[in-house]
Amino acid sequence: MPQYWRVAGLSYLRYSNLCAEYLRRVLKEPARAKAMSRAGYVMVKAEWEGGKVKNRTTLQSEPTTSEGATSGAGS
Amino acid sequence: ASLKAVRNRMRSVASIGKITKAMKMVAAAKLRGVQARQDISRPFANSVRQFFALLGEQEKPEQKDKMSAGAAGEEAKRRLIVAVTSDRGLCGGVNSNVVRAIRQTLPHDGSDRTADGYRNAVMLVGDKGRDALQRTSANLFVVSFRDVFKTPVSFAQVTLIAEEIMAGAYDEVMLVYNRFKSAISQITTRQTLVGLSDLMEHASVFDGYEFDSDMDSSQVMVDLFEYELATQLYGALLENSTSEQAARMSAMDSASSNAAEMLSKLTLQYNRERQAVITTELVEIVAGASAVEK
Amino acid sequence: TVNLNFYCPHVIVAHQRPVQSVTVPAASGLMGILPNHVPTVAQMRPGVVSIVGAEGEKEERYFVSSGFTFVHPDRTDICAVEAVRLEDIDEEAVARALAECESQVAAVSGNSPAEQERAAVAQIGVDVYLAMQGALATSR
Repeated sequence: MPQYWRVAGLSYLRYSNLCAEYLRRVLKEPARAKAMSRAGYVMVKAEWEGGKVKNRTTLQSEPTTSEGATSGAGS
Repeated sequence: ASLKAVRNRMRSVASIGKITKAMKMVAAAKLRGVQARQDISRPFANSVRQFFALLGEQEKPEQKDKMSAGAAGEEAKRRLIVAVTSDRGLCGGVNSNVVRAIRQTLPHDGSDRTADGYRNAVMLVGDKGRDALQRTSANLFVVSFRDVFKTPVSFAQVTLIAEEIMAGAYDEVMLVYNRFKSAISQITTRQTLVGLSDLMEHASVFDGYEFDSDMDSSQVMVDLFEYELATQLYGALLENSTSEQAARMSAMDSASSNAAEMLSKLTLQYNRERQAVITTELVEIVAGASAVEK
Repeated sequence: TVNLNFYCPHVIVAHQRPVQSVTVPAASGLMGILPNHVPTVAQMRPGVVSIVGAEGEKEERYFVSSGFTFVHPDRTDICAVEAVRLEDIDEEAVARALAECESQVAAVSGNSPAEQERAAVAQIGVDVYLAMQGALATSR
């Protein structure tokens, strides 16, 4: 029997990240602020097809959920 | 007029020298930070890497014969090449070395098939690789990530990139990056990871280990594979960002000493030309005076 | 002794440290590692890693989020995504977060893939916080 999160479509890495994030949220200060600060990021993902960018997505860390994706049309 | 031109060049060389010197200092400060982070993260990545070394796969020279690749009637295996480069330039040969290693791996006619029977695709992490590889290999690009290094690389961030790799279900993943050896030495590295299906096929190499999980062990292999991918990618990104700062520091260092050297040459030239102007003027005065005396 | 390495992506908890024993939260249950343990790969669930150092030393307890432990013949490598000292966990925050995750699980309606995913995401939180409460309860 695979794990319930795998059945729901989550990867092991997503599961792992969620566990880590839930953990960071309940730390006492200053451990909490320190842990939160090293988990932050903003990056841009572009999907390519036939040598052209087809779709662009901004991926960024959010305090509440593991995946913050604001989708924008490709340029 | 030429004297004025020399003066202007001196001024611009001096200000370039100031800028490169400042950039060197910034790179040195950043290097200290990223190197400290890397010292801490390296054992983590190495530990997972050492376990998978049981497969005999790590950092193999390219074009090793694959046991099953190219067999008659079998579909070609798929490989993802991950180009790890910086987002910003002015960092010596760090990016061009990665680009060169990838160009050497890929066929020159722009096709996706290499001599070892693989069909290749390219993922770009960092912007500089895109600029350089776009001309020759844009048709092989599948996904690119930009601004990865704007914030210190975090594991959470890396797992998003790793998930993208997993989604492609490749037979092999090749990470190309610069391994940080010291402030003056960075080694361009091709690290290959066996894909999930081959890993399952060769899982017997791990027979010396018991697997503890609450499921059957094939499921734990899937999880372990994902973990390997993320840890090795995390290691590669940190190695490369440390290498980037180190290379930028030495590039800016030599740029600064070039500027200093050029400035002293220009100063010499300026003084000489100024002397020549004075001499000419003197000669004219003397000549004029002697003409009046006659 | 057990030659212990305990690593996270951002911190080294222990490096080639000789310890008497260490217990990790393996997926199938707590796994105690003493010298000459059989080589093992253990998937860790959210739970407590406890280290018994030298004789007479107090047991050290860390909460790990997930990861793997590799018991090699010559050393034991714990590779966790996050590891924090139990003292750094805010017990009240855990209770609040657990209640929130539980209500999110309860609020899930329907069987659409998106809802199933939401349920799983919240359930992971429930698992993490229940494990924490258990760990904090036994440490008092």
